[in-house]
Amino acid sequence: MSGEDEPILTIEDLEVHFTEETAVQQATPQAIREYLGWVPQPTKAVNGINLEIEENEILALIGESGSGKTTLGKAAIGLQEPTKGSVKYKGYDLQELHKKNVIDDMEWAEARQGLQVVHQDPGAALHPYKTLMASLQEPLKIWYPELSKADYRERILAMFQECGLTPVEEYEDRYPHELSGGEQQRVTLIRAMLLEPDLILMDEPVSALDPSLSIDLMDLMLELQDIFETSFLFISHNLEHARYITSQVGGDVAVMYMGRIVEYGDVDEVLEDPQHPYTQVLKWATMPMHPHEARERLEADTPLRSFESPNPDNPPSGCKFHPRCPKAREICAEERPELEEGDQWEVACYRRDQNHPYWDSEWLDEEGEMDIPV
Amino acid sequence: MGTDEPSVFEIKADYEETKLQEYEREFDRWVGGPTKILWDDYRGRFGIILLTIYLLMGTIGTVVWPSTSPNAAPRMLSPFESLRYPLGTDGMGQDLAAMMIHATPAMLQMILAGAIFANLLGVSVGLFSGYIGGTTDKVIMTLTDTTMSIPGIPLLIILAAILEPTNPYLIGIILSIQSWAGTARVLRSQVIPIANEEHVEAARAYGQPTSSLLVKDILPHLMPYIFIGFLGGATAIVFASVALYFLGILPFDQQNWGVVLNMAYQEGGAMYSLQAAHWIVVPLVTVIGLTVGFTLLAQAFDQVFNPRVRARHRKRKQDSDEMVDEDASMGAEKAESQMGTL
Amino acid sequence: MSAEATEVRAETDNVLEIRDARVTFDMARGRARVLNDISVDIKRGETFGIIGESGCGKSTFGSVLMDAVEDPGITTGEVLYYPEEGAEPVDILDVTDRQLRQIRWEEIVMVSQAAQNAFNPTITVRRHFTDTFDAHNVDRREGLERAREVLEDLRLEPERILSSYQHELSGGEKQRALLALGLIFDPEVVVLDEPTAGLDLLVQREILSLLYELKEEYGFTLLFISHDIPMVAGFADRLAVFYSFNIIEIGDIDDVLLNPEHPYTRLLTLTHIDLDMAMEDVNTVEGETPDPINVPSGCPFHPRCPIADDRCVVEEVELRGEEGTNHKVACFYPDVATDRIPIHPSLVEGGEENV
Repeated sequence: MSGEDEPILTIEDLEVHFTEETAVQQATPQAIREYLGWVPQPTKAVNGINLEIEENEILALIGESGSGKTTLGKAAIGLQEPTKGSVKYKGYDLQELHKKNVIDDMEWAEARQGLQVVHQDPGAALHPYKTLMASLQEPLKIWYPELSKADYRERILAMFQECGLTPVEEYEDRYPHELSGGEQQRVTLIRAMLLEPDLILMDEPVSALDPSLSIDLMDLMLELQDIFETSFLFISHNLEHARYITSQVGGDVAVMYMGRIVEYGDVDEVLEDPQHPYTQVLKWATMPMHPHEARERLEADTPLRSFESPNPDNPPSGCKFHPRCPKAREICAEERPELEEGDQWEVACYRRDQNHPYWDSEWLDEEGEMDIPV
Repeated sequence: MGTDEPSVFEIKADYEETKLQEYEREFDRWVGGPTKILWDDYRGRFGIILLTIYLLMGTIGTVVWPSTSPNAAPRMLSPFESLRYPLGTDGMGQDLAAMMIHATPAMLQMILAGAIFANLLGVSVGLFSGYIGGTTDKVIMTLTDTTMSIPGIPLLIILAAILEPTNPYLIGIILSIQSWAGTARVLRSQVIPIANEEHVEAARAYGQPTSSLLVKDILPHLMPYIFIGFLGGATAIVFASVALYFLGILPFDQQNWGVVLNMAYQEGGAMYSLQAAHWIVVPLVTVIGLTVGFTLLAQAFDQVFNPRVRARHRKRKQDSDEMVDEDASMGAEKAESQMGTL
Repeated sequence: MSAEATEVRAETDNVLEIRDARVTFDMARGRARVLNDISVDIKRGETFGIIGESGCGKSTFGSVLMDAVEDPGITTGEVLYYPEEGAEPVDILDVTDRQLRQIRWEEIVMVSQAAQNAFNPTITVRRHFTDTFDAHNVDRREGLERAREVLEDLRLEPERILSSYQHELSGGEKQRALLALGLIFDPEVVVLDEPTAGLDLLVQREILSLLYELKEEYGFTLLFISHDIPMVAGFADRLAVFYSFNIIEIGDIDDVLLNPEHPYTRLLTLTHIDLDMAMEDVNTVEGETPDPINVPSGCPFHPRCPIADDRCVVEEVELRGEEGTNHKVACFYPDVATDRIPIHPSLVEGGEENV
């Protein structure tokens, strides 16, 4: 496997489980624990994901908190160990690569350099006690030790210039707290790009910014994407961001719910005509700006069957969305629909298939079928 | 990357920062800057002054000021009575000032050894344990907790009785045989939230090896605690040594403030007579002075680690540098114009 | 309440009258003015939306209404509060501490975006409620009865929430619990500062619906502050747009959103990414938000304004509008703005066609 034609990331049957255990429980030998019944149920944050991300591709990952999107993202770039399944970088399993350091032609170092991250909160993502120049030199010192300090400085200043942090001399000695949120986020973006990575994980990078600043930052990301052909794994709970970030080179969207992907397809197509009820509900929840439309929406009944948020420690049976799904029928509580291609694209819902027994099953409760006004 | 124009990543500098400039910058960052910040804070200033006094006492003082012995001077002289004995003398005719001064080097040595030992051990254990987590962390913390739960004073008494230490460095280490545990515990609990912060995760993502991570990314957050712990530990050693000498547990062949206290209390009845009071007050004030100096400095150090304060300092420095440059360039212009007219 | 009924009452019944509200504070590098002599009336029972970007003064305005601007900020001006129609007004900025304590929470309540940290992590939610009751001399048992009602109105299970600590609640539950705490004394005025910030999409939507219902049921006056226009678009009766610590446009929501006259408002609508619009129509406002210490001369928007001329650089401009209309704008050239600056396609009559 030369790694040349392989996608940058291949994720197969990925599962990440978290277990809450006290020290005493951990220290007790397995046999005694089983006898006492001290076998805690793990929370399955990521519960069976299959994905591929190619070069120069943008994948938008939509989900709310508890969907597992952040955990998936971290596992994808090697910051989180999988419990089951694998994450492969250009065909090489990341965990194995990390342990063995070299497999065939691929070095762990190359994978590590190739996968970078931009976090949601730039204030926390920059070291508060280091000047910007000092912070940004760190990755360069690790990967380009042959260059001099002056070289690092020139590169960083050039990136400042490219990203609109001008006049550049004013920024190099600043501390993060002296910058606005938008500026801080540019710095974290620069740090990620300095290593010319193959893929950058962006975990809700603009969710903390005003609309105008979010667009500015996304424009910058698109610019850099154009120049360096980096792939993005863009996580957001906001459908509009997903649409914008993929507007330049196109891209796919994966909608996550409770650890699984429930819908996967081309961004424009999915957002125009979502197939999974959850995606439809997300679209309904995105408020319009026109006052009359907005008021209509506000006055209409909610399409959610129940107000209760799902509990990851005690997940529902069958389809995880069924307690809230406006289109849920009894069959949905019994067996979980797999992510399969229907008429349009991959959806994890029985409604994709006109002939499925779903259509003969009874509605889940007295509410019957609920409308999703969109 | 496959583009024709030189990408931004291929830029190399076309000038060299002179070595002198680099040293200047680093000096300001590590020494000059912090000192100035400390000096600006009134607590820092007091702390520096106080500690400098003790440092001088312990170094030059011992050379310059003659040491004393019983009957070298008239007994029970009150302080400020004579120029030769400004702090008075004790009941055995010893110059109190001399005793204070000549006890200082040993005290400083104890502090140095003890605080460094305790902190080095405590910080390393705490950092490592906190970052590594898991079973290792639990095992280490159990050991640490056990160390902490051993009764302190009885332990010191036993060790002192068995080892009968006279070397001040050794005494320092013995005195802090337990305090590293407290530091380790505190630091470990500080490491955990920091290790989960985004900038540490980002550092892992750009490939920072664990050892550098601990030192570069996590340790700076802990510096305030470490410094304060260091200075607090110093204070603790001062008190502990004084106490142990006062109680007579540590062997008596040292000049030590605690010894003086002991003598004043037991032999001189200094608690009961106003005339002899100075015998107890002088060592008391000496001890307190040192600990206050450490405490003030510890408080002021918080400013050094505060990035907002560093930013202000940098701005002020830039402004004054600019003014210097302006003067310089004005001078140059003047020189040029003069040359022109010649 | 229908639109016409609100308008008739509008002539007569203001619950708050703010005059020349100004907030300044001194920083190392100069004196900052973060609220610039704002004068506005709030009508009883209306939903008053406030829009602006971060740092424009909208949150400060909210704080002024409760005289809650933090030190070292200095607040001047008048905030007249009318507890009832026809009652004698009280100047909130000028009352005794005791009166202020009574007014805050019982009459005027503010729930801010820092809500996530508003709860004391060491005590239960129930304690928060009982502490509040004690501070206002309300019988605990009665108070908790009421609390349970309010919590249910917010679709929370009263017993579970009351006995929880803040870390045991999700973001949405925390926010709703905080709202319940705010509504406990049935206040006249509720000020919400970014109540949905940081929450998931469905939770945001749910809270918005709840607020809508609650306002109908409880009948309070609502001031809704947000940087996100869609949040207030369906809700507000009137809208004020903040820029550089001033109100630069104000009026009925239909007027301000469907026919904005200030260049900033028009440009601001374009920053909303709609799921249906063409991505090329998305735009940002060029330039940077003003520094409170160094506000531009004349009209503060002139450095970023596409139609600014010399007059805008030099002359300050007040809110002005035609007689008989509620719609006022602080711009010399509203007609030029309407002509030359496009607005968001979804706001244009006839659907998504471009102007």
